[in-house]
Amino acid sequence: MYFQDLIFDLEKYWTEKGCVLSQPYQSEVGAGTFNPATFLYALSRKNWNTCYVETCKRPKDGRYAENPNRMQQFTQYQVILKPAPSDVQDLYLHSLESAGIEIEKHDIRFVEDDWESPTLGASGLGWEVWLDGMEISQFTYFQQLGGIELNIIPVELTYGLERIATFLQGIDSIFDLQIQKGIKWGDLYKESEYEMCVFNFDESNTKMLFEQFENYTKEALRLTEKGLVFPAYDYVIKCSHTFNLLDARGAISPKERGNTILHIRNLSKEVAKLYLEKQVTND
Amino acid sequence: MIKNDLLIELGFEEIPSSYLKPGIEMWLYSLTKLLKNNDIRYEKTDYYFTPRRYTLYTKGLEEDTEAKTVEITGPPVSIAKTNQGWTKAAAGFAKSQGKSPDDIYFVKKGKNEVCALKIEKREKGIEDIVRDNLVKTVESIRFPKMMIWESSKFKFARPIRWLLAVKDSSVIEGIGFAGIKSSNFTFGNRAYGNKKITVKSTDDYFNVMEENHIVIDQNRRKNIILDKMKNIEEKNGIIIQKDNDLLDEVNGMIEYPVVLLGQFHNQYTELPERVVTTAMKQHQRYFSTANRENKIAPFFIFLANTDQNGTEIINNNEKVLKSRLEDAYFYYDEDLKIPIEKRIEIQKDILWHHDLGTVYEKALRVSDIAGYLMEILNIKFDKQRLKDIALHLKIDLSTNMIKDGKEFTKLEGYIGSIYAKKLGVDEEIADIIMEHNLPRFAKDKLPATDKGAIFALADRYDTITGFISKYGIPKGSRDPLGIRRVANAIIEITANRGWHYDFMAVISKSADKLGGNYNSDKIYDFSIDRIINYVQNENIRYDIINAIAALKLTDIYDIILRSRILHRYRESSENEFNSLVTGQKRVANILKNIELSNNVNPALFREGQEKTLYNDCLKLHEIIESLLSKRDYTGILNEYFKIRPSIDKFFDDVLVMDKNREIKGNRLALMKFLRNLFLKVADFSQIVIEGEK
Repeated sequence: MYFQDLIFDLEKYWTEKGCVLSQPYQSEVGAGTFNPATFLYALSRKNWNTCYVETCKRPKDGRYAENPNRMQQFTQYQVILKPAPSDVQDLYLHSLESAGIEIEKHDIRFVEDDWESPTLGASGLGWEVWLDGMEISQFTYFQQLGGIELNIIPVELTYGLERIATFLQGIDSIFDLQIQKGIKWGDLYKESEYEMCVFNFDESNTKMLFEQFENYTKEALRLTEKGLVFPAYDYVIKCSHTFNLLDARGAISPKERGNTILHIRNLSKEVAKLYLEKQVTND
Repeated sequence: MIKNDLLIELGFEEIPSSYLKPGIEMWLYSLTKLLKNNDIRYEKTDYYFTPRRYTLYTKGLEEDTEAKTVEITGPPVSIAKTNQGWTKAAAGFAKSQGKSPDDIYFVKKGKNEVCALKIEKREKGIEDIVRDNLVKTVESIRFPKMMIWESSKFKFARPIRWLLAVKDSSVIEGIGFAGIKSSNFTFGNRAYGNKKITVKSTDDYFNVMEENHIVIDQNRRKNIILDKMKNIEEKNGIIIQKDNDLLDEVNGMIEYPVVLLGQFHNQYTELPERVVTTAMKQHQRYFSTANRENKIAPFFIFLANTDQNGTEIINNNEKVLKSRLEDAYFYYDEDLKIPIEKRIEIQKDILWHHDLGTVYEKALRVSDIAGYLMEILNIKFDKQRLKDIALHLKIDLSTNMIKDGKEFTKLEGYIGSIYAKKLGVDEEIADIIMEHNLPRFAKDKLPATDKGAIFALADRYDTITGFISKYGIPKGSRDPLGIRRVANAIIEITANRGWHYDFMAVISKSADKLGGNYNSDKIYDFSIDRIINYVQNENIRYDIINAIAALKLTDIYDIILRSRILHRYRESSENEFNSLVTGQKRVANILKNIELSNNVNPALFREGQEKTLYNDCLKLHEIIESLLSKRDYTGILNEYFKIRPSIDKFFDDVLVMDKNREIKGNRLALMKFLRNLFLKVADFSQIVIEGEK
């Protein structure tokens, strides 16, 4: 089972269940939730089923390519089912089976995790899914997006692909993951992982980032006022990533963190509100 | 009479462990109330829970379904029948029971004769009662966080997926809510195929559950876990840290208790102990272990929900822990590479708060506030040393371990202290780093040394003054910055140390350093509110502190002391205390809106009681200041009690508002003299006497 086979298996499984295959977003995001295919489409008043790969960047999680299981960039598989089917836990477990995990041979648990994306003003109740103590997925019934209470409840399934793949290949390090025959994860990403860590922790230009953060915030607000949902949302994503970069540099104290997050959340809320208003007008 | 058993099992997707017990207790309460309200007798109801099911099992229900004839009484004859025949009242009564007025007969009820009807009544059966009301009992369950998941918007902790309702060997059908219907199906342990199982009768239930790898009884699960832990301890010569909260938590995360032992590499035991135990407990819910010397041992204990494939499950869990410890090790290693001087410098680049400067600037302010506190508390200090300490307090904010924002973040203070020692900082500073962070939460430890307490206070005075001057007092339940918690900590530390100082002066000093403005009345009222909250935990009523706060006292510990003593007096001699209060209420009333400039003139006394009271006041006047300076409030209250009879008698015998203006003015001056003596301790007139408005 190569890493890319895991993606094929999940893609096949979920598209056969009727999901639209969406594409990864072209902007730096911390989670598949940021992709408009989740944040905006899950907010809409229509039914929506989708699945896609998302490359996620979390600058703070990097370890200069020294830790075998933590990196600043990793891959998620994201599934949104709206409305949430009543057998969604079984659907999820079957998807693991379709990817080759013999679920009866392992200790699989649904462990309380009240998920929240503070910058998106999104929250829901659900679990992190454990496979023999390892967190492999996030399983969430959204209750709120962009601060708006949802009417039709979507469920979000997020798979940590590298973790599941190391498990399937029986190896200890993500760097040893076989992506395709003869090609390891480390061959492709070790160098970039290291360099990105140097950038995130040591070399990023704090002054420039603070200025950018300011500008992105203003731009998001300006575009919202112009009624341009998608461009405005792009700038919210940029704000969020810039904040993550500053945070990785330790340029923001714990107290100040809360404030900045609140600031981004307010932008997300504005965008969400605008999106829904326009939906109503378009209907 | 037949005796029945009733079995109800509510199946759901995994509910958080901590919600389980409180939730099912609410359900049990509602169900037993339902049975009682319907006069159904039963032996007992037991409750059981796992993460996926709630079971209420009621034994020995007495069911009486025979039809009975009962007599129902209605309106008195006097309004039911006239010469013209039955009245509207009678017709209405008959109709309400499905009868005609001609069926009415009369019976004696007390002194009156009233209408009566004979009714054939078939009691509702248990099935009917359960069918009609079960949903309401489920709705009565409240969880800290609830969600919706389907179109009817039923609220629960997680989605409900099945309802098994069986009476003896028959299913109670027809209960439907939240997209499910009652049946005699349940589901087995997920790890063993999540089989759909029919429960044919209540007697079968426990066997069927065990066969399907579910130990439904939470207490039995816990005992099994403890037994297995004991075996592991004996076999491996280790002691398991059986943290009871953790035990209850993990017991609520499984349906079938399997206890496994994992190991990790010895090198990780070199990490600070709380880092290792936090890595295990916080996220993984592993139990840590100790060797015979009470040092952390390289083993961990965890639970699995299945006994298939134990070895592989252990291996995989070991990998997970290794990765977490590896991460902690990475942090630790990286963190200790940075010398302490640099850690201090870095604080210049870290914002403490966007309106309140950097961490470094905060440290300088804290140093000055600490100096001020020590000055007013008469504690010797060296200015340079204080600055040195202050600059070390927050050195862990820039460390990987703390800024990660995940499990280790709550080790703030502890990490700073450990690193300081490792990096060659002296012991006193290392200890103050830990102590200044206390208390971290309600009922936490308090700083154990004077210096620890000084810095804990100085840090918090700076924080609270900064926040309030920028954002004002927290309103309602909203307090995102945790201002109330900071104030509570200040009060706790101050009272714990028994320190007397003017807190408003410290706030003013802190504001000077910040260059901020604040509304001193609002800050004072807010603080008093927090002190009320503090003494209420000692069961002292708010009115006593209000009476003391009316004097605008600014010494936290003094306010607390006065409150305690007034409270004690009220508790031990309530009547006398209340009459003191009543007397002061009268005095305050008389003096309301009156401007006085004259002193008491003994020559104007007309009544004996005036003179007696005056002489008593004079005596008290002479000694009160020296008692006050010793804070001997017990002594002063004893003096008040001594003059109480002359106050009471004065009001019995003397009319203050005499027709003669001079006499009246003199008596008012005496009242003011008296009132001022009482105002030395509290404004007694503000104390509420029970039963009064």
